[in-house]
Amino acid sequence: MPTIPNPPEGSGIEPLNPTNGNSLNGADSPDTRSPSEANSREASSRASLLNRSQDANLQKSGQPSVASTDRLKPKAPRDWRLPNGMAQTSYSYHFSLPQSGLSGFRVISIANLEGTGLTFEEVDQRLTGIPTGEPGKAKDYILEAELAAQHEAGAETIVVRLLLLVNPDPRSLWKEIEPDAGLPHQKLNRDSDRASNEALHAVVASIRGRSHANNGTFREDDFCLRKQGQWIVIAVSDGAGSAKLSRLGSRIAVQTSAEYLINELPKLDRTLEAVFPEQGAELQKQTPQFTEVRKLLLNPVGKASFHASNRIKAKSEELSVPEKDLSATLILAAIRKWGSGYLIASYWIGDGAAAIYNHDTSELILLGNADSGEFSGQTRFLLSDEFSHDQPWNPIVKRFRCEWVPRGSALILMTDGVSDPKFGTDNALKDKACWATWWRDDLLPSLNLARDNTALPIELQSYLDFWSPGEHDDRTLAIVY
Amino acid sequence: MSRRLPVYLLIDTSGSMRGEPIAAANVGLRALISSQRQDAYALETVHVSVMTFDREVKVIVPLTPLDEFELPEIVTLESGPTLLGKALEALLARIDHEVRRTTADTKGDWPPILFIMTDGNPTDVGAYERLVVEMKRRRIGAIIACAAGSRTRLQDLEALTNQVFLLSTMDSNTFAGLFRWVSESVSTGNTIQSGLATSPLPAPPATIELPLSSFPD
Repeated sequence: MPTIPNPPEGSGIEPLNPTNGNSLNGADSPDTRSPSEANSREASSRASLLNRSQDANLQKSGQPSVASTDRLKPKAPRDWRLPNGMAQTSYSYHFSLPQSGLSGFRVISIANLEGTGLTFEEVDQRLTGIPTGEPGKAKDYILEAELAAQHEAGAETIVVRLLLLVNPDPRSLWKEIEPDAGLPHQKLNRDSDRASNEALHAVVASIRGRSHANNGTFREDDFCLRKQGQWIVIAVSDGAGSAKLSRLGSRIAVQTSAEYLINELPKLDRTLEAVFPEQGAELQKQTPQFTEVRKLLLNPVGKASFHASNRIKAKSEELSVPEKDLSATLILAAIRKWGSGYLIASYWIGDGAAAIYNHDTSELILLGNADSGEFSGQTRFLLSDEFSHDQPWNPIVKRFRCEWVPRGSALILMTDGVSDPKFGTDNALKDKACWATWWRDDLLPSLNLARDNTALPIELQSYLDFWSPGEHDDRTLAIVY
Repeated sequence: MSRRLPVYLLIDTSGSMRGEPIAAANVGLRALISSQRQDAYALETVHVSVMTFDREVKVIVPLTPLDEFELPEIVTLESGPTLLGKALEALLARIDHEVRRTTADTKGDWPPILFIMTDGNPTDVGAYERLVVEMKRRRIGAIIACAAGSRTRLQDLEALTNQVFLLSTMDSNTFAGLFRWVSESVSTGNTIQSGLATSPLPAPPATIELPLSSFPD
């Protein structure tokens, strides 16, 4: 029984050389889907003819790329590379030989499958199973397939080497590395807080994302929760990934803005009452009186953000670093009971999300729009250029919101580490059905929101540990209800 | 669908890369891909495309998920010009074609990262200079230039990026350092801040007072 001689030692995986009939494109194979992207058809003739599977999680199907360096026998490839597998993830591959110029052949058996976690069904011409990988690295398997001509009794067989790369299970690759204890501006990997008064209860948590843990870098998100009198002030911030001291920028942003605001707001209570009495507030919120309320609250909220930006700039000068090294977003909000509902004022620059969600009626008020750019991760930050305008209040006004809402409303602030995996797009953030589903089916089952639940901050930290492929940013979430 | 981090490998296959330079490039690329395959974040998000350029620009591998990606052996021509300007122009066209933008309805990809391997002496100097300006304007993600070969004029590459590595002096430590840098760029998404002018900003006011009539309705 003639066999193809094994390739010389050390030749490794042969490159793809296009010759007629050597490519297996398996267009008729039942589980190969044609590439959705036109660019793979545009790829030059030297391109790999591996068709990409659309199903990233389960089946990895495609056709082997053919490595042939023997132009005299185009029908006898030396090595076939199978589509890559992933440890702990189902693998299914169907051999579709007729397309390859090997019409009339079928695979009779495959050797060296022991320990791979895979089995071969001759009837189906299918290799399936859950491949065993190696923790932390890719594993190379070399299998041997014996091919025979169909419909020819006693026909000669061909042995072909099958090369299979099994990628490690990504979850097994995530490391948890502590940041260097010698670096300045240390920040805890996880933190949380709670505060309450007679009318309202607030909880906030912030955790370091897996990508920072994997690299041994700091959490760059931050928050600050303050209360005084009837007011509760909450600020969240996300430090820019590419900014060296963004963990410091986010800290300054939330602490400066929240401290300023909580000191100023109680001073306005009497004027607010005069302009917009608590009694009957629900009837007044569309009237000109409410415009006065908005003007009154715009002042301290705008100044709080402005002072935070000034403090960031001053700090950068003190440290002799460019201001952009402290780049961070800011969502700042204040809430107090007002009559039969709540008065809320906010400022939002950057990504993430802030909203008032009524868990009784499912009504949603989004407190602005996330700043975004052409690609993910591109947003605006709380830097002095936001205010260095002839009319610095114009941009502030655009980022300011003020609402009166009935009881049953919750104020929710989050950084994009939460809004990206849970909502993803601008349209989803504007969709009250998305919020309703998230609140009811995702958040509530994980939290006991009873006022006397002292474990709530820790429960919120645990909730933020959710697994979402590709979403490994720091996560901060605040709820006031 | 989770967001992808597009990584474009742009490899010089002109005559000047023949022999040692292209051999070093192949070794370096293999090590880079292998290191990325062991990075949890890269395995989930990185998509790789390979393009070569000499007198023509070719897409050898279109954007492919890292776990499915196979790195082909890169070969050079016998001789031929180094049309780096033309290559960058073709790269921008691929990015426009393949990389998803953020819209109200779709999550955009992360800003693409470009990894160039060349001997660093572009033949089409005028086009190259024009493309350097265009690349800066477009604000893609990190650009990493690896200069292979001893005759490299680094200042050409330094016009494009300040991350320039000289392959000929690279031992395994430098390689490891380079890959760690790439890994961190990959995992932070190397986000570029939008909306910042490159010219100095006017000083912000010391205080701001709310004018009486400022609030629009």
